[in-house]
Amino acid sequence: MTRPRKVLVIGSGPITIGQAAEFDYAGVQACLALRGEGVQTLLVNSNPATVMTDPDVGGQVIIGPLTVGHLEEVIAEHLPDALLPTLGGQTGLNLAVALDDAGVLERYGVRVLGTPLAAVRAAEDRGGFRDLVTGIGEPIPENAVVESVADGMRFVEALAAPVVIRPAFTLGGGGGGFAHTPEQARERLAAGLAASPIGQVLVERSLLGWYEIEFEVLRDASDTAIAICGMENLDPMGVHTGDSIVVAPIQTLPDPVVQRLRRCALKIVRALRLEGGCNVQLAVRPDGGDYRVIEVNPRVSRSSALASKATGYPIARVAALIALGKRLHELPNPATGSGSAAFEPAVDYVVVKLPRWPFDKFPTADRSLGIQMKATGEAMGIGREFAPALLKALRSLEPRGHGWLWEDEGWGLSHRAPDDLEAFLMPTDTRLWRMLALLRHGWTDASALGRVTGIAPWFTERLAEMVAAEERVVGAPLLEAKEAGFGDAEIATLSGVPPVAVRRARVRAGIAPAYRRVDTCAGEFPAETPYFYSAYATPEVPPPSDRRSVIVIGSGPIRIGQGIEFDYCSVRAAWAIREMGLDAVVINNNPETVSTDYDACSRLYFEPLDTESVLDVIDHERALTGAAPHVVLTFGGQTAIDLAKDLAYADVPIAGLTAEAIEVTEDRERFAALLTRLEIEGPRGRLAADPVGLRAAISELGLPVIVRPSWVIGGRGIAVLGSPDDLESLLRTDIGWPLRVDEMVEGIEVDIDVISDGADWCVPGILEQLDPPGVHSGDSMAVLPPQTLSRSQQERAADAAGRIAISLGLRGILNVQAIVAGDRVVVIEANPRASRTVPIVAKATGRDVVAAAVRCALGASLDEVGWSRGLAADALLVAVKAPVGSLWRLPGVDVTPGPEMRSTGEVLGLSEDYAIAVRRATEAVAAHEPRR
Amino acid sequence: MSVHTRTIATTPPAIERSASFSRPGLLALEGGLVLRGSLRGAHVPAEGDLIFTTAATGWGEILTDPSYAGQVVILTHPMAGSYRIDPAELESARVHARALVVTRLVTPPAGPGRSLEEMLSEAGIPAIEGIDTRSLTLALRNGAARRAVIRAVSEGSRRAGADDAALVAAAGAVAPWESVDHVATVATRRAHVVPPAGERRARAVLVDYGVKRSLLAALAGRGLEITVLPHDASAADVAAHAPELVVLSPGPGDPSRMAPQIAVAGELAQRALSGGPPILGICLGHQLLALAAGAETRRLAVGHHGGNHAVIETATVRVDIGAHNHEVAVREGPALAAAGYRVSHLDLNDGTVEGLAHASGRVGSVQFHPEGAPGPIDASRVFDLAVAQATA
Repeated sequence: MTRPRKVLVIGSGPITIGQAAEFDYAGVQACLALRGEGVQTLLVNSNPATVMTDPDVGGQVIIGPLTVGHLEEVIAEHLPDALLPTLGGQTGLNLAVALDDAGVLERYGVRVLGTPLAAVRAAEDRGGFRDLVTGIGEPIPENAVVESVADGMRFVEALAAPVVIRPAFTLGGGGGGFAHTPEQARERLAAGLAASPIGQVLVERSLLGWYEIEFEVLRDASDTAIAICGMENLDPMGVHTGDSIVVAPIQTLPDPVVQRLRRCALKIVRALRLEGGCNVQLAVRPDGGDYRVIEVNPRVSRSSALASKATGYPIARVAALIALGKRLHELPNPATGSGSAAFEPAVDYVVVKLPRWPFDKFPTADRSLGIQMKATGEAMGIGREFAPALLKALRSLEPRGHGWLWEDEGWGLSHRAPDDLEAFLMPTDTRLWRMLALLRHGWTDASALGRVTGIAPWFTERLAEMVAAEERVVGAPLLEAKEAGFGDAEIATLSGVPPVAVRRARVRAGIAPAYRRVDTCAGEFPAETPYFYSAYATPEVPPPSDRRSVIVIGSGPIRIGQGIEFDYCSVRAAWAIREMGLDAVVINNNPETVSTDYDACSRLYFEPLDTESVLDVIDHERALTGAAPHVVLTFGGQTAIDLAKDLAYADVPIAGLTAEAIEVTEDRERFAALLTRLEIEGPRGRLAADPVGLRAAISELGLPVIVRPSWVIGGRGIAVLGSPDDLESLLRTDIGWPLRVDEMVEGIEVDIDVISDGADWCVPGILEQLDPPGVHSGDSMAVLPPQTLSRSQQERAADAAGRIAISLGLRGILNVQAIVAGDRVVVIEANPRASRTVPIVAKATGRDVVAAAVRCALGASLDEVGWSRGLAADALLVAVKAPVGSLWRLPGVDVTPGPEMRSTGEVLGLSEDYAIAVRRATEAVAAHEPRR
Repeated sequence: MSVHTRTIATTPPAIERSASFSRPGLLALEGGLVLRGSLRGAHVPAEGDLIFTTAATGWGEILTDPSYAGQVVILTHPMAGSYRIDPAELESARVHARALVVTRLVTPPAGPGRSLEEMLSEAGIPAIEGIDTRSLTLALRNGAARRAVIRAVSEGSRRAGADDAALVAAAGAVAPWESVDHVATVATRRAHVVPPAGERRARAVLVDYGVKRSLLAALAGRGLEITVLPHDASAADVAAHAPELVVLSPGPGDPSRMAPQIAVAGELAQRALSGGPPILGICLGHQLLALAAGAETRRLAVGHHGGNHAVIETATVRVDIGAHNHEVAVREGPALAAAGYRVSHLDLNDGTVEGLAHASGRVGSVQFHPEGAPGPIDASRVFDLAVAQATA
């Protein structure tokens, strides 16, 4: 195969449910691999909050809509001679097929690398999939389309197994359902045929309760095929794998069954003649005696990202090299640097992945789990055994989320068993905790849980063991509880002491975790991977380091309001630190991301982002390097900032930032005082204890005002009052007093990112929000540079932001939200961290904002960084950011924009011309919204 | 108890067999390392050579594979025994490994089959649980000497560590693995016939140095009627059955001490080159053929045990992931070429010789296990080719 000159890589666009940071990870690995081979890359993506869209990664980067029309323009202008379609998720794959269908690839002589599009079509098309899989003698779920009860019963009787009946052309599957006996089947068939407007039903073997297994496989052009990882879904068939708890390696199946499934996956990838990565999903009967092929994804995926992080084997990088024509056996082993890439990782630990759902933001949403994925992100825990891995994954979900011991009082399990166990244990986001609570209160046992949920008893028995172990925490040596996997916080709760007391006891007793290497080979060969997880086990000496290390705290699972932009920031920060000649250490727990690629840093600790794990890593790094590490909190979103207080309490200095500064910005009164001292206008606000107080506040402030309960939870109850009528209708509702009433300044809302070295500041760009104040800035369209503000208005706003940064004593980065109205600049809030806007500013201005921030945080001056003071001159390009939602996937959620953020991702339109930039952004959004 | 003469217990000793019972135990290495854990399975002493396998499943297969005779097997995967073992998964009628070293021995869910612990108890061998198998594996990889003993903590010892020196000394006194005739303890003593599955396509003789059921099943499944002969069968004994294929089986131990078998392998190879039946050597059988050809074998710094190594067939550039289980490998050297052999397969990880082919095409051998069990059977065309040759 001749080597391509320039390869077009299509990204996956904005983050939506089902398509998250994993494709940034895949794209970054692929682009770096291709460019490492001397091949040019041409990258197209509409999502600016990605590492891949930086030119030092993507090569020639086009930020623009992911549409056939735009891609054709790009191809015509930049003339790539090859296309790598399998790294941009379903979006990238669909576009590649569409470009082929439209004749674009042929017209411009662009050949497809890696996986042939015929294979893609075969895997994606229902009929093609059936022909492909059955053609190689592998089983798919048996099914028949019938138009009479008699025909249906012939199929059911021949199958002699439970079936599911799906009437054709009915909404929401009305009239269908499961049938476990022939009698039920006869009834369901009759009902289903009656319900279908065309009198047709699909009868299919029911795989309900079968176990779900996935294999991630790679194949090269010389037909070498390897299985990188087999993974087991804890939730049986019926729950989308993105919403399932996933465990690797496979724990419950005997070797002959594992081998049979592995062979099936390899057979499929060979039949597809696929050159690259592929995901094969299989259903296995609980006794292991039978299986079916459920789905084949001929591309890298969320699961392949998980498999890469679970094993240390970089699937996307190797898949990209395979697409260039490299053979697995010729590539070096990516972990050991010698040997070859043709091997299957052996792991000597267990990983558990937990989904992160957005239901905390949307209490009205339907929380049931099924075939439609609802999670926005995920966290992974690595432990020597299942229990510590699961407990770490739980601690990683979010420090303030549901811990191991959480129970909903509404379940009432402390005094009675649930009336209907089956209903209580239907798949929902809280099923894990429901099972734990049932076990804890003794209402049921592991085998009953397994029976009711269909979860393999191996897992329910482990959960029961873990619940039983809770009782031994008090009174037993602390080390035992730590070895069992319990976090300091859980031990504290169980023992009735504050978490800090547990840490103190640990320090006194010298109980600290050791760090183990993820080496792909279970210790068989010396490996170089700087990839570690903690375990209460014998220390494994990591490589000596004589450099001072800088720890970058990541942002954990992707959730609404804290997305991939923080991964972008974390990765750029790590790279900047490495360039400074220091060791860049990353702590994070999101397996989808670039920041958890051990190639992106000097040492990666795959750990929860809570006080316990972060302090443990800090202690370990101190011991390793002989010096206190710098800790950078500013790039990990609120997750990282929330650690500040505990780190300060533990005397850990935070680079460029103090806990005091964070407190000032978070405390309304203190922040107002600061603004007053700086003679900067802040929003006027009052507290209203009752309707009289509310009316008084409004007459003082003048309409419109924003009112919110002073105990705001998740943005609920926030209202904008524009008229006396609005006030009256609000008063007729059920109000939780007191209310906070803020003046609503009518003007232009702006987002200002300030880089400060402690003495001077620079604002690289200002974003003007295009939606009215009251719409969450994350959900608002925005433009950089501002289109309706004069230079002097912008300078005044920048000056206010800059002075806040200096007065807070910040070195690094500060985000300020303000409203500009005529000569007035009203500062709404300040956050002493990188915000959602950083990647946009970076892409629009072409400046490495994060590197400047991290260098200042570590002591450099703006002069040393090479940045001039004050508001930077306008960039040449106009950048328009538009939000993209995917909440239409969540039934029961109101998608009207408001003060609560609802979008999951964003796109950017770039042009020298504002109108064109707006059009590009709008087109880019349209490419990802469902047609209505 | 003398290790030299100890036969593997076929009946459980009269001691505790309770699945949940454990008592403190020690694992001592001759180099001085002493690790504390709990004894599970049969609470009896054990000793042997430490090796580690990276296979995450297949405990029944591992324990009953005769090639593990004399070895104390470390499982690198920390959770062992998670599923019940189906008798159909077993590789022989007996447990051959001396002991297991595990991080955690899991009690599997109820159901048919035996738990790993029940299997250990019935076979009268112990597992020592609670050992950090990764750090032990790293120690072995970094050159720790491998003889080891497992003992219960004696009732009388009050001070932790009181027995350590004695145990380390006991480990140093364990008969070296290389010095023991393991084959004689595991291989069949009488000839027998394994019928083909389905129609007979050819007759084969397999010389049994410690064969696995999976290997026999793979051959029988391809239509071979297999006469299994004891390890001390002569070339004439083999020829007497007029086979169309001769298979030299896998087995335990160091091949360089097996002079009679090497001689037989050499004679069979000579016959193969002069009109006799073709030969397929597997694992130990492969090593014997190499030694007969004048090559040398060496003990690997770290043996291959697991199901994840890739082997490349040099002539076809075909790469297969396979099951490996060998402590010893053939040294590449001029003797092989002089005898007409070329290296047909290489391990892609460390370059170990994994297969030999004679220029005549009449003698071929592989170091790895195309029959898997546990592990992949991606390279099972080795059998197809051999059977094709036998029926040609």
